[in-house]
Amino acid sequence: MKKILFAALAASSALIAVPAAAQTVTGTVNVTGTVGNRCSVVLPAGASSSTFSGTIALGTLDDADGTLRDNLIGSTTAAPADGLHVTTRVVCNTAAPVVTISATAMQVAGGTLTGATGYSDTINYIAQVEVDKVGATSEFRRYNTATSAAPAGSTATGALTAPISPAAGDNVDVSVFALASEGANTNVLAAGNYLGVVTVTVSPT
Amino acid sequence: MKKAFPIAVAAVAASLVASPAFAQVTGTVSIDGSVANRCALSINSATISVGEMALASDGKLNASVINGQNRTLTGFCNGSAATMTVEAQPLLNITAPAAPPAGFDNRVNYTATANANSVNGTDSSVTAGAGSAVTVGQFSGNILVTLSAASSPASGILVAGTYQGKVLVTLSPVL
Repeated sequence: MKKILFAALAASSALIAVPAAAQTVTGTVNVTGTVGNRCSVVLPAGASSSTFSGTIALGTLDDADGTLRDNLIGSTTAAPADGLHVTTRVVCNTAAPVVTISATAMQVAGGTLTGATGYSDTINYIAQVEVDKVGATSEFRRYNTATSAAPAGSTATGALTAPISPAAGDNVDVSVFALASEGANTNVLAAGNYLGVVTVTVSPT
Repeated sequence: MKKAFPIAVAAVAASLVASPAFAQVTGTVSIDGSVANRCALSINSATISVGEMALASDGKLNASVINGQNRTLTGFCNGSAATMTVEAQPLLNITAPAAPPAGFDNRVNYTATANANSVNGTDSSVTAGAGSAVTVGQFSGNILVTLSAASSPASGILVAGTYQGKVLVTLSPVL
């Protein structure tokens, strides 16, 4: 007998999957930070402070004749009173920190000779601060207590023309010169303890 | 005469015509498909804001605010040959980008490490470009990005301003 073979035609349809082109992917982690405008006083132990202080101790202010010492009267910007300085290290992270100086005259507390002819209980002076800058240069700010302003040719406040020197070591130097008895240098100084205060500020901007 | 027509009843014997039984047949339909080598990121961005970066004492870099910072991306790769590269781009001062004077820095470098499938890829921002590719293979899950070794080129005072950098983590399905 006939055998009928049924051949099942298996038609396979091959689905040829074309692989998608391999792609790289990139993830992003953004990192941000800030550095605030800042000036700080660097203390010897490495700590920081927003203030510094010191004393210019002139000791005996008068000569034998009771008048203001001649060498204090004759002191200059290059050779300040008794060669004394108060120094510190300030770091600022801005391009042009602002330096300002002001001062109060040296006065006797509770002076009893105020206004007496031939006597003085007030000593004026010029206070100065020298600030070292990048590039091995420096700038001065000066203040005359007699005029409550900068002396001619100087400025009492203003931005530096370059950043403060970042080098180790003190970069701010305060001194006083050109002391003068109020009224006249021939006035006899009233007895007592005289005190004047110089204020220096260094701001990042 | 009548003849009898014999009615031949043809007994038709029901002959069982042995028709051959249908031969069992089997049809085959092939189905095929493919999965391409692929990597994808479900979380592909993050931000690390470190805040103030300078020490109050001397204005220099406070590395501790950067070192140890980390964020997690997530993704997967489905091929055994998948690789990962990391590129750390330095923190640059965008407020004051000009070269600073001696003793100052306006750039912060660091090392970025990305860990995926227990494999680390790293790069330092000191040198431009990505680090070497590492094979991460098939994985699905977290990619932990960690910062370390923060430094500034001259170890100087950091110039004031806003700093920006980024870490790029790239997954490649095939070499």
